[in-house]
Amino acid sequence: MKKYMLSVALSLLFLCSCNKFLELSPAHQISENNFYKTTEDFENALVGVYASFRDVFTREIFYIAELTTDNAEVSISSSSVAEMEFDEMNLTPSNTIVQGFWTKVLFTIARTNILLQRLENSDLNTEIKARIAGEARFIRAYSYFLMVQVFGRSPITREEFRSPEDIAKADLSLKPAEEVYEEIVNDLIEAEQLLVDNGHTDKGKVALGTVKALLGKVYLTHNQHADALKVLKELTEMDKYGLQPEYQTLFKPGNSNLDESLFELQFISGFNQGNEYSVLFTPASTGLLANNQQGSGRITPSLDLMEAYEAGDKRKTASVGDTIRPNGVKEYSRHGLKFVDLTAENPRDGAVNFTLIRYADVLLMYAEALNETDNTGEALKYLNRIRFRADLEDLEITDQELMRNAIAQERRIEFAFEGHRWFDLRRTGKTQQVINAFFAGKGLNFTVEDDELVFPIPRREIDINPELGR
Amino acid sequence: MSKNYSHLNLFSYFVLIVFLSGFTANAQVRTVTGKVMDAVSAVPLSGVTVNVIGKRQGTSTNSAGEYSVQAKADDLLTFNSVGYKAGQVRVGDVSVYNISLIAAAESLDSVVVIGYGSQRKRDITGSVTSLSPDDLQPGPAASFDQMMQGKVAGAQITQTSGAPGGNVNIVIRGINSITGGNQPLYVIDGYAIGSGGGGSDVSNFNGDTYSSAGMARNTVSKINPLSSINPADIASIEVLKDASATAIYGSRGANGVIIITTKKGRKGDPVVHIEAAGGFQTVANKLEMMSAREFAEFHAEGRDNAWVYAGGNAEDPNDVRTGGTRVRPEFRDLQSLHTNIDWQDQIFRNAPLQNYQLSTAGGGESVDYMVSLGYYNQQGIIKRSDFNKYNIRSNIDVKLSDRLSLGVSLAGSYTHGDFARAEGHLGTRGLIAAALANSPAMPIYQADGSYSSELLDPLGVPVENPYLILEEFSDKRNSVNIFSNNYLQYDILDGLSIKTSIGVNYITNATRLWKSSQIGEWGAKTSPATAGAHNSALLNWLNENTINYTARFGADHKFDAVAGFTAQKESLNMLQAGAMDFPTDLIPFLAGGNVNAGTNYITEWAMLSWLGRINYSFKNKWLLTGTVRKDGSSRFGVNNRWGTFPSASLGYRLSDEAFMKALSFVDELKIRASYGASGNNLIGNYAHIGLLGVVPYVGNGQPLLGVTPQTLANENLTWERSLQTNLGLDLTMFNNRINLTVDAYRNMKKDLLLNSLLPAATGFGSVTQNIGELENKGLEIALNTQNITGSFFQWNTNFNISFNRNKVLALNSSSARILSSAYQATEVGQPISSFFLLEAVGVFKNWDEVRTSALQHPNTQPGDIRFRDANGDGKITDDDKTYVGAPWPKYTFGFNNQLTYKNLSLGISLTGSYGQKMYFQGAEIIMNSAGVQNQLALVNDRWKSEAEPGNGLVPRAIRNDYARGIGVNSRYLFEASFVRIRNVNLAYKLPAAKLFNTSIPAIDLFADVSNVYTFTDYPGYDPEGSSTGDNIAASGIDYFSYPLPRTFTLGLRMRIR
Repeated sequence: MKKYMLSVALSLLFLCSCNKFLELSPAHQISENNFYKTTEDFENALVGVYASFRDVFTREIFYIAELTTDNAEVSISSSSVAEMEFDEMNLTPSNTIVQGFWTKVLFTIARTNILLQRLENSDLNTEIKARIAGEARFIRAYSYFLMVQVFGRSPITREEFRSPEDIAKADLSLKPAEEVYEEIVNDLIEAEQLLVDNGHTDKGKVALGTVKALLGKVYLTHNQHADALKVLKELTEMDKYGLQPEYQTLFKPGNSNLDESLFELQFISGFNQGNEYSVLFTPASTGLLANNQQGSGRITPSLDLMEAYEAGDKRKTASVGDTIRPNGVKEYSRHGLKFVDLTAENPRDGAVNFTLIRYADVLLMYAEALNETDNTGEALKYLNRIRFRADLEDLEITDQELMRNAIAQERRIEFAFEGHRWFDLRRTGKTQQVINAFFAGKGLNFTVEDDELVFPIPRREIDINPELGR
Repeated sequence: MSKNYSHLNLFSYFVLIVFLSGFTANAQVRTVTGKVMDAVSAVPLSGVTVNVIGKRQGTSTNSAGEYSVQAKADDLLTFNSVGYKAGQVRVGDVSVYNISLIAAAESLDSVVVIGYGSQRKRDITGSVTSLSPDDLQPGPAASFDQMMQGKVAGAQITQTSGAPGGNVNIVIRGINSITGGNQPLYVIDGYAIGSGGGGSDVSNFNGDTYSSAGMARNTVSKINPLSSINPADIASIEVLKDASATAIYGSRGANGVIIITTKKGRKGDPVVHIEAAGGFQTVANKLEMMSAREFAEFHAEGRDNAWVYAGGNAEDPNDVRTGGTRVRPEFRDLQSLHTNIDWQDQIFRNAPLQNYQLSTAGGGESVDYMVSLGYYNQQGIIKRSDFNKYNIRSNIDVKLSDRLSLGVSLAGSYTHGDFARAEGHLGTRGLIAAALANSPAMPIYQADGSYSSELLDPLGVPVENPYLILEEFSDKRNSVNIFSNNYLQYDILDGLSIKTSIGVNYITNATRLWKSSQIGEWGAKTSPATAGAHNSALLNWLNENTINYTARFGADHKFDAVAGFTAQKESLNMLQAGAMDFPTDLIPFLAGGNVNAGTNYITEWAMLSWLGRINYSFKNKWLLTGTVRKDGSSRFGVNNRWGTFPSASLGYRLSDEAFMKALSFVDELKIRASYGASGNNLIGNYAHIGLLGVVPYVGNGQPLLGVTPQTLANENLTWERSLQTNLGLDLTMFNNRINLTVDAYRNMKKDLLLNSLLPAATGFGSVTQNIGELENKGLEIALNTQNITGSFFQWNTNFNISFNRNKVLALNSSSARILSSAYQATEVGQPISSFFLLEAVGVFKNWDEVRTSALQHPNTQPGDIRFRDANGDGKITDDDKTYVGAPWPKYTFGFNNQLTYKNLSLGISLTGSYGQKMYFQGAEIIMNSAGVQNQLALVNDRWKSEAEPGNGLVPRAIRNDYARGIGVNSRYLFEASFVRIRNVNLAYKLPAAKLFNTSIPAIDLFADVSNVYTFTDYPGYDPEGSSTGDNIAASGIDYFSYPLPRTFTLGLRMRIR
């Protein structure tokens, strides 16, 4: 009996080799050790990169590029401290929205790094490799471009981190703007070579034209006007994109794969993949959204913006509104309408794509590049193309400075609530002038100071790495 | 303490074993008979074990207390009955011995269950608290953990939710981990349970990700998993506190170990226990809210002030004002208000409670058995909440031969309950929040008979009618728990035995959630119906193989050793689904809609261990224990998969020294010292593996899934190592009338498991790493005294008090600050999860104060909250956040009294806790002074003008959140110290009697009130309420947790043989 018992114990003990018994990995998740092998793996990882990139444009970008400016203000009484800091343009390192933006952008960069590095070490077909790399490099470049515009500098990473030890060894310090721009231009020129001129029917994907548009914007922002002119000219000569005849179709459900789009971030409803813009832009009241639902009025158009539209501008009703009807009674309440799905069953589940780059932007950038390279006359043609669609009369301008102002005004209206305003003001050096006047006009003693032109590095990052605070 | 009905069977079971392995003797055998009775009442005692020392035979007394045994003249007879001091008699020439046994409060010879064995209490060298059923709170309870409150020095036991079957947290010797779990390991009849595989992280039961759009969400409530153990089945509970005691559980012992031993049968006629109790519960503490008129005044004031702030005039009519500043017209005329409702009365009720228990135990020559049935039913004090529990257990031990025995233990429980949407956020229709925030001036019904609601009324309180919440949500949960553990033991030689056991625990949990189309969430009055289902099945198996050796060398040396090997594995299979697009509200199941969300996964852990322990005693005076366990776990990286946990302890029984004999009043004096290591592995199953996850996206208008890296690999990941030092003293004096135990300890936690934050540029938010150090040190005192021991009147008290200090010694960097919530942070030099907030220091009484203070906001005015400029830079920003307290008590205590007069006894238990803070998150709504939701009546004392500055603490009413007035700050942080009359119990013992030739068995009648009264300054429902459930590292936040009821019960216990 004794022997029997012992043998039971021993057999249980050695039934399986100890270490094998302890080696468990989750069957429902993918371990890095068995991924990044097939084409499909890389296609999936690329979708992951797109998804990560889309996250940047769900919320924070509108605080950063609209709420800070004369375009928008908070219209609810229960706003958070972070929101008030934006509204009053008094950002602190603890601002959770700035933190969210920083994290989302840098996460996208890190994920792109992993994809690119794994791709390089893979034995995928060269064509596929080139396409995936081209799209990924665009996303990385766009992300760095956001970092440098918002924070004035950025950590630069190109490689995958595979363990805490890798991270401890890495240089994650902030690099000056010049180095970041170098990185961006490198990526975009590389992407330009990697991507072939395809039909670009799927606007959810980055194509050659998308890369050129961004490169144009980067050059323009970096005061390389001649370079900008060259690349934007190439883009217009590709003859692939055009303006939608009806401005409002750009922002309503069904706005996929439009001629005017160079890149759309995609949303659909019914799968938790809708946009939440109606929560941001529409008031905390019924009478606008379907199903008696309410938004929360976090970012709503300023009176200043409402009054900036010229009489008869068709763009106004497609962009902003000031009347809602709770319980059928008319009430004044300003709200934004772009990309807002008024018909969605759930305001957090709107089925409108967010068009990140559209041809109108290309045309106005081209006009800007022409004007800055002393070709004001040619610039006017492109400006008037935009005005024509809005049912506005052509302008007659010959003065370069007046042209600058006209383009700025046109851009403000054309791209209101599309996440451009702060960046346009920064590029044209008008940030303090415009926003301080806006606050003064409202009788508020808030201002944008010199050191507020770049956003504070988030507290969380400084706590982790005190060097970033210096 | 009277011990007539509930027997600590296990004690005698072990006593039996001790006596069975004995000596031999020789002489003439004859029959000795007699009767055994209680020394005080002279009631015959049945079931008393009568043994002849050195012989294998033994017997027990029959129902008349009579026995008959074969013995020789020089034999020693022993009489053992649980709850009595052992009796002894030398046979000599007499053949009839009538024996009187004296009831013992606690016998020094009692045996305490420790990991992988048991020990005489007098030989214990570690820190162990042992509880018998009589030590637990009387009265019915859903789970045993509630009954331990205030009984164990060093254990802080908190019922965080009063929901039927709600959560209870046990923290032993202070919070031990930031990222790893803090739950102790639960061991039931030798089987370590818990889905965590380490401490028993039994929290697999919550539903967060099941529903389509996350709408039918109710994450707070869950069935307390420990309620699957029937409290009536428990024979003893041992709480192991220091490394000497817990190291035998290795990588799972660092949070302490709670060993539960269930009742077993023992030789003798069957004994039937019947217990029936019923009662009702009421809400113990209703909050005092504003009346309708007070509310109307407040509402108008808040909106007028906001309009004035925006540049208007308080006299302006509504039509010139902006939306949020308009005043409900009827609120301008207080006399016109006739409705005045306290909505709490609409959701609370008096709720019944029932408990029935039936068990039988007994045994013959070779088989002992204990079979029990239980039913427990508790309606909640919040409407539509209830909890039902069915338990069944059989413990059977069989002696196959002189040397071979086996045991089978089979237990099952089925629990089901309805969880009202009680707790939870106002916006997601939390019922308590809605009842408190709702306007007291709003009638329940509209003119057409439907429920009224001001949700969409721009002048109203944006809250749904609580009745609608009660009707349109449902959350039904059930759980089946099947537990079987079986052993085979072979005694190779006297003193040497081997044992192997195999056990299985299978647990299923199912949740069905429903939200009808008649109710919405946040600002939406209605939204499409959703249903969710959440099912899990957990299979855990354990095989243990141990060898035991006991030996004695000469008179002075005693050895006792155990060694073993164990293997355990667990697999949890989770299935969740959600549905939308319901054409009708008639089918509140997935089947009625379009199932469009769901997930299914399996998560596993496995563990292999070697263990060993030696107890050595020299002259019964010096006691030495050495323990080691080597654990291998699937949860850790290949570089650190195996760990060793040794401990050693020494006890010295001074009372056995000759020089102590002079102090004859000292019965026993022992000093103890221990040092050792134990571990904590509660970090989830796959933290060391670099994982990628699926992320949803859209491709050409269709949903599309992508893959993205989620966690960083860390092959160095391993357990937290806790190095524990314990010094203790056990003193018994005056013939067992005074029992004192004192322990002082210091627990150093090394290799703290930490979600250390990573720079965003790495692409990962954090990685679990072994970085950091933590210290808990403290003192525990337990004092049991028999104050009066008259033959008619007895008074016993039990007092225990525990002090603990928690401090973080190191994190990954000196500047690291780990935020556990919007309110709490952990930093070097502070206790874990200390409150880190802007410190509110009252309100500005006048303009002078505003002008001379640090700049808070350009528009700060008198009546606004004033903050302390902690960094002294002249302005108030987030950089002024400072540490303003911690959720951990400085000390906790229990004080229990038992008074007995003849057959009547009265028990009074108090518990208390001092020095902890609680962030009353609900106060962000009911104390925010915003002029929107209804407020606690204390907001009537707000600042109104310089002439009427109120109490200086409550800011003026204003509907605006400039200057951080409404946001998070220390204004909502309160002292949560309390003293609670936990329980008052009156019992009357009806002796067995004969009536018209019918035997009436002994019956105990009892009346019990629990949660009688709480003395506290905390303004919420309960100072122990917490909304973070079993996430102990984030405790101290109360968002309207389900209030603890006051319970009245009447019952009887009967013992029939």
